Amino acid sequence: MAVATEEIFLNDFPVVLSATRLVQARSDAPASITVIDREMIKASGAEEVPDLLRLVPGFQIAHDKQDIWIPDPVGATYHGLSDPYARRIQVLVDGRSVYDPAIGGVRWDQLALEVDDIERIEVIRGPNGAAYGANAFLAAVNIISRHPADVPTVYTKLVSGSSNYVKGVARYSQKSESFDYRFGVSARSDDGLEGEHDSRTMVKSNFRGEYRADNGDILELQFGLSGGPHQAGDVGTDFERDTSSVSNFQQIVWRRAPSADESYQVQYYRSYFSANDRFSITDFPIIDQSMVTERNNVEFQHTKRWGDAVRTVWGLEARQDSSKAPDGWFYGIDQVTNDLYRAFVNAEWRYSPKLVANFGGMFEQNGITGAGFSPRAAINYHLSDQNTLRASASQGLRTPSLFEEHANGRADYLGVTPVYSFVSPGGLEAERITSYEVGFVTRSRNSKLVADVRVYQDYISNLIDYPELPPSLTGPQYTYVNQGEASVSGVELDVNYRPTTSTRLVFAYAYADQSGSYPRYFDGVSSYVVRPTDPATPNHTASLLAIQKLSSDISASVGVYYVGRMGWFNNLSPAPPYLEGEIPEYTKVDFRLAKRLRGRNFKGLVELVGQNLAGSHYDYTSSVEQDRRIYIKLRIGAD
Amino acid sequence: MQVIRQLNDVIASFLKRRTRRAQQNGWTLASTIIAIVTITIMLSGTVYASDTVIVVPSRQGGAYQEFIDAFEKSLESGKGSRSLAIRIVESKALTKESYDQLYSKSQLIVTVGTMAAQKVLTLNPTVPVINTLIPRSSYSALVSRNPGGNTSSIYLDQPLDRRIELVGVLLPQKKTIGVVLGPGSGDLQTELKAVAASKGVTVKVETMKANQRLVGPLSRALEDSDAFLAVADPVVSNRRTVQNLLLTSYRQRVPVIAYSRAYVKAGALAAVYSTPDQIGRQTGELVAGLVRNGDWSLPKPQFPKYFSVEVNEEVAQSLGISTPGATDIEARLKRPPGRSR
Repeated sequence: MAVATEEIFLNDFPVVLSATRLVQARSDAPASITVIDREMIKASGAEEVPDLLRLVPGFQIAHDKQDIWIPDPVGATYHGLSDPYARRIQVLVDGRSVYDPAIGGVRWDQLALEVDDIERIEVIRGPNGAAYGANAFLAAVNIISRHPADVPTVYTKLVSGSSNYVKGVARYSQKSESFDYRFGVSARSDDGLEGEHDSRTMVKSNFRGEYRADNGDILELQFGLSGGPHQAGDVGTDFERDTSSVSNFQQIVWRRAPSADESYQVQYYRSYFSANDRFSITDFPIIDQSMVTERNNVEFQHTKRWGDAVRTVWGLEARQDSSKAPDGWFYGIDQVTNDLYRAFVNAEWRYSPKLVANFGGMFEQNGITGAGFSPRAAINYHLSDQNTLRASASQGLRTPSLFEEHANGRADYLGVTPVYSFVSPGGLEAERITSYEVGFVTRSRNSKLVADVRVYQDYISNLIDYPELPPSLTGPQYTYVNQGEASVSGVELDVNYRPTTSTRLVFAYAYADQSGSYPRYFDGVSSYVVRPTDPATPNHTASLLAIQKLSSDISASVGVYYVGRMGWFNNLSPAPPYLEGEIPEYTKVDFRLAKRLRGRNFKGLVELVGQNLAGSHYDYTSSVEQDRRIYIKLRIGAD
Repeated sequence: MQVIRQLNDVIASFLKRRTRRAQQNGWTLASTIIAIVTITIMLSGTVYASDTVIVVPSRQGGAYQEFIDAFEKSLESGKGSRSLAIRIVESKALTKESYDQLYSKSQLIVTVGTMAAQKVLTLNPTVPVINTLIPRSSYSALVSRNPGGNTSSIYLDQPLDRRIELVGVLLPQKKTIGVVLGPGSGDLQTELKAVAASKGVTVKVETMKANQRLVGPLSRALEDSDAFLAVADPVVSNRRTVQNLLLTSYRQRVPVIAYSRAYVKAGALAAVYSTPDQIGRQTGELVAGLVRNGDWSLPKPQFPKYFSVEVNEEVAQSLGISTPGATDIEARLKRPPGRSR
């Protein structure tokens, strides 16, 4: 037996939570941050990651139909202003950007990640280019996966539900003082919508390992693989076909803290996506929408504390995005690439215990748009220990995706005559946003109530959209131009309330008033006819998640999600009164009942989840109805 | 031969002390003379005419010296006019023979550190022994292995109610405290639960064996806990486990209440602890009382009277915890019981 000596009290420990490793408290942060934690993730009953974003004030989700383009039917955006390839929010998983290089937006389906693997999602509302660079334009979503030391050794889950939805998840983890890892696999299949040719199978696996050296260095490794076959195209048309896709990524991060006041981080990641979608239709012997994309990213970051008052983070980043789709997307070009270089610095200055200022900026050199700068300044004033007032101003950019800049969607009619669906003139500029915000964060003395309110005003210019050109021989043609603009102002509320230890309420509300214009079609002479952007943002978005522990083993939760009337850019009718293509307001109601199972050598959970219980609705197009669904889940292994 | 060796020991340790003193004060003729006179008295066989306290540190320097300096200072000012000789004998210089020959005639032995306590108690001393700068668990283990002696202790550990009180001051609304106990701290469980109950909080206790990994018990203890109380058990908290412990609890946003200043520097939220200087001061005061009364019967083992609080303000800020500051917390912990909450 080890005898305790005085040394345990007197000896030094290596500094573990250095000042540089600590994350900023919400009341010191320069922006409004919504946190979706494990309890909320579980209680929501959601199996798909974007569904969780409904809990964030001002978010909308779109379920598209898998018909013509590469199937990836889910989009998530903030304040609307989007088509289903929502390109105006940045999404990071453990610091790795999953923003699609070629099309923009996020291929949520392809993320090699299950909801069970997520520890927390932090959503920074408002532009955050100073910290995350271009494309953290309207918001940034930070998905933090679960640390291997925090998950049970063995975990399995089976889900069965409507539309022949079947999913199996298995995860194994090992932990020791110096090395932890987890390895998970999952497989899912479903029949999709009733009567449609859209069944999918998706297989995923992921690995996360962390090695902690005796000197305090930390090396983290992550790998992921996902993919599978999916059906696409309208039943009975010659678009009906089978496609498949595969994604993988590798990520390595090395962290060192030479002292309590300083740390370095070097990160490299590579992500790869490949879709196989080649078919023929009447008059078109070859339609090839296959695509390969790749991202290579290397980043260095240095965090330092200068005395008690100032903390800085600066870093350098280099990235190459590339895509190969020489038939369907970038006709005649073997590979399109874009190189990106970044330098950034952010400083937190604790002027007094009451006053914290955050200043930051990111300089970027982008192969498409050239140099750009995204600054931010914020002041947080602690009125008391509980209440903080925040004011911030920031600017951000959205740079065109490879497709927006290089689109050449050519197909040869009858195998000979070229016709174009999308043609970009190139030379696009970055979209710009300037945002002003006043926020208030409050936390009751007993921490039962935490709330954040913000009032903001955003000005967006250079908005890229795709107006229609005069139709070609076989159908519509589109181009990309920088001619839209919009301004959005509104109020948002984010409340977390725990009246008792067994009850929790999470409430989100957003009011947004947006107006602007975007080009819709060529006037036939020299310019584009613009149409209002107003319908593209719902005035009201709200959600409520109520969680109640009924006993030590049983808990229930209800999620109510409301989105006001809105339209997605590409669906809105180009002609007055522009209402065609709008989707009516809808309320989605989900329910979950869970019971813990305890055996002698066994822990588990059985769940009943109902979705869309208030009736069916659609969130993107009336042809993709979100109807009532029931799921039964069985988890084995403590969670 | 034996006698000469023992004598050498005595002179060596004495000179060591004088030399150290000399470094502080400079050699003076007087001290030289005193040294010579003392040695002469020793040789003449009239050893230990006045009361003598033997101080046995585990090692030289560092924390032990810090203790001795404070001890001597508070003893000097507290003993009044009584004459008292203090002899410092490093534990490795102490043998059965030297004890029997020389130190058995002293009035009191003060050990400083666990190793010194171990050394002295195995000699079955006939004089009273106060063991200081020693964890409570180690003292109890030593006493049960060497029963029958006239011993007492000033523990290095803080009393549990003081530690739980600190949690209350920092996190007034938090009610559940997670704890992992190891083989050296397992017997605290009953006391811990009783103290917590008296303070209106519950403790969630997990235990681990010496060959077990911390991760399992730790994650169970952190689950649904508002704070984690680290106990000074080398199986639970050591250089290898502390990284894992602090990172895991931080990821789960559970603040760690530690037991040492270094632990707080490493990333715990706060700790109440005593420095060797504070323990030395308390020991000096205790011994001075014995000297003044001329009564060498020992009081019961006691917890530190003097203590400090360390708060990691960066960790507090990051966890969204507002602290009243170390000085204020210290003052609140020093308030007499009953007025503190």
